[in-house]
Amino acid sequence: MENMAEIREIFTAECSDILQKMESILLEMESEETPNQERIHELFRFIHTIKGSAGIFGYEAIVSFTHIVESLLDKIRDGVLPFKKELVGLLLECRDHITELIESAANGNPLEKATLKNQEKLTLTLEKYLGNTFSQNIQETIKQDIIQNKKITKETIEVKSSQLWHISLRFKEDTIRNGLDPYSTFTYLKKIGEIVRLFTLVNKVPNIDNIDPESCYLGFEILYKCDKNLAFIQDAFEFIQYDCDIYILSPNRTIDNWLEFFEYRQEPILRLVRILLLTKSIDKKILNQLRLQKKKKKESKKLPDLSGTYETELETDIKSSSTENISQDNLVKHKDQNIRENKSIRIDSTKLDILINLVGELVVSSANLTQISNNRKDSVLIETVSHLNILINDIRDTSLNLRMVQIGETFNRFHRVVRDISQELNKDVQLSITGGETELDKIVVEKINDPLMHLIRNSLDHGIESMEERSSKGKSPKGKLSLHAFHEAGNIVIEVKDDGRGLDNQKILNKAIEKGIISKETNLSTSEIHRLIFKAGFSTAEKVTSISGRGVGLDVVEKNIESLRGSISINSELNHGTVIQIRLPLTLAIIDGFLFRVSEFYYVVPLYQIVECIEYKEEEVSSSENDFLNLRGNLLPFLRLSELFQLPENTIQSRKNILILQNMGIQVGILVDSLHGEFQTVIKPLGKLFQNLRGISGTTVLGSGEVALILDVPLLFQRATSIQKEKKNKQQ
Amino acid sequence: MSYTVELEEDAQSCTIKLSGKLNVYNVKEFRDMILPITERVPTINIDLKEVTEFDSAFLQLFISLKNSAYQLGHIFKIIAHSKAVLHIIDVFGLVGFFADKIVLSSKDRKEFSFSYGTARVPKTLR
Repeated sequence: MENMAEIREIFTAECSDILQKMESILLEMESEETPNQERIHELFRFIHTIKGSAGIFGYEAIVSFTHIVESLLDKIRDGVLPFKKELVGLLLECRDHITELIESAANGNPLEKATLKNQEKLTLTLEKYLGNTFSQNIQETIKQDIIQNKKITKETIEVKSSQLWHISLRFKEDTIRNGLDPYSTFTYLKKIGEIVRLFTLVNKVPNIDNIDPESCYLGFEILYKCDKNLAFIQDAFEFIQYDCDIYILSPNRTIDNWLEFFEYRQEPILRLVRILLLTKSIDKKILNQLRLQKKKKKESKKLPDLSGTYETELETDIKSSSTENISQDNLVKHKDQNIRENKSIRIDSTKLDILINLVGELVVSSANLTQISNNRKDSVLIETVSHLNILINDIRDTSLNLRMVQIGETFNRFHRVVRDISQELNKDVQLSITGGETELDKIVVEKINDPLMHLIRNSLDHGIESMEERSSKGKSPKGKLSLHAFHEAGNIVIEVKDDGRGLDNQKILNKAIEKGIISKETNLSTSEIHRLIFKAGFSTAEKVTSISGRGVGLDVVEKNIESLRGSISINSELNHGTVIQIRLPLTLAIIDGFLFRVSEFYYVVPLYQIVECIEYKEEEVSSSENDFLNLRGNLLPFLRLSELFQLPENTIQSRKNILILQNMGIQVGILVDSLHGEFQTVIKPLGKLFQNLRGISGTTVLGSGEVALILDVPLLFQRATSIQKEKKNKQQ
Repeated sequence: MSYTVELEEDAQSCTIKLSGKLNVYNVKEFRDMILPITERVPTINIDLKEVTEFDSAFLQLFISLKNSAYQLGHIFKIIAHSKAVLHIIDVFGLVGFFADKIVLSSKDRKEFSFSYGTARVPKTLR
């Protein structure tokens, strides 16, 4: 029964998708002058879907609340209630409340007191707009609805009375195992209409010695009274549509529709007819027509022998069923709604992880194969293997792509955050988003959310000034905050930019000295001063607000980004604004690397960080204590990895090389012993024991089975500079 | 465990009193328990008075038990119903199928419709 949880997960995932869309629509509506009718329709559909799905799962609390919201939207849609801007705020609150309800339902937790109070408050406000007293009890509200409908349609009541649908259901074996219960579908059907007759087909249920009690063998023929349209009824089956063969016959079904139905069902017709007589879905009139049809096509075996022994039985069946008027004009037939275009499918992300892992293994063993084939010097084998490698590369890229998602969705969430916070702070801020279509790994997206939230809160609270302050500075009172994403050399760069007051170097210095982070004598460059704000315990906000300024924050942001092998940089101009750039690797699993050897150990550096390789010549190195190299007239600092990692000197005097690496615009060379070229690197994270190792970000397995360490270039750079400083200090 | 079973058995009949939640989570267990009983005795009485939850899977098992007993000429009877049980039997229109005696107070009677499926089910449709 683990499927149950899975289905619930789909439900919550789907709902959160819908709620997300709702939010963006509402926010758009808020910025528009005249409301677009289409948006209200959309909102109505969203709420309706949530209500329907929740109903199927028996989440009463959600159903009853969404029902009220739905009624409100219905009134707006019909023009009974004029649309006002203030309604957007209310609907946003309702949306948040529904989110909470769904969360508590999904976790199986009872509602918290605050939530209940909030619900009461919202219901009251909603009722005010509705001008109607809705009770908590959904059944009552729905009944009321029906009564109202009847009042409105008094003139057309004649037509409505014949709104008797026939619904035929055959559940698939896995229904119950998938966590669905036909009973809950009927409970929902009862809420939006009336089950006039229902016949449970039990003939497929095996005997007790053969039954698999977790399978479903049931089928149903239902005569259903409902004033809603076909789409509405179909919605009720939305959740079971894949677990059930659904056939709906409209109230104006004709004899032809029945014949099509019989053909579709492929079941003994006599049985079906008898059941349909019991459910009063067909009456004597139709039965006679069926007989006539049969006489017309004698050769056709479609129709049962309705004469003879069963004749009398049928007659009694007819007598027992009352003669309800079922109009038989027009034909509308609707087969199940399985044929729905789905452009995307949901996959459990663990399945993707398994795939990526397997691809990783595949890449490793293909490296192994390449090595063997190269050793054999068999040209045919080498050719085949290289072709295989191309394919494997494609598979790698495609499967990594599966996990790529656009960052836009994450960005869009911040519309709401910016709206709420700027209202709270009484600031007017406009958020603009660009580069939302930039893709990056799903895991990275998930982890970037919190740091981004932090940065945005910071910008709103500390960066952007109050309206008065802005006006006095000659800026537009409306503050600007922008989120921008783009790709850059194997990285994704996310920019948070505001046009606020910028960083005040002096203020930061004073604070840092006061907090004891730096000493008075320290001489820092502008960018070093800016970096101070990422130190733990640092906050320059004079007053602590609920939004930020408690001194926990930016250091955590930086740590989070670093854990994703990313980096953060800050650029600010006093009174003009601040730009914070986050740089992240596109993926966490497999990279194109460059393999080289120092002493007897293998190392890998991400290929995109390599600028060039040059030969190392002793005579070109400047003689001072610091290692510098003359690169085409420029000085290039370089590191001796063997020194850094304290490796034994390579005894075999081979030609040494310098690898020139680039990180954030700075070039540094590293001295290595031998180059082994491009290498597809499957990153294996370091074990717990080595998590605090600086300079190494992971390991990978070579084709030969040996282990290579992956260098963490940014950290290496940092370390290099700190070593240099130490040396300097010693000299002094 | 979410449900309990009390058994009372003699040579001719077995009375099973069930209470708690009967649903798809324990339907397999219950079926494995009752199968040998159906082979031992010709009459099974089920007391469902204390049942708080009853889902389609269990109802389906009872349909199977009823039909199996019917074919062998044995007796499978529900001697007491709880509301949870009656609600689903009512909606599924299976009152006539089970054809058991139902005891309800007039106050409780209002909760149920019993508007269809109360007549005996013809043999050909079982």
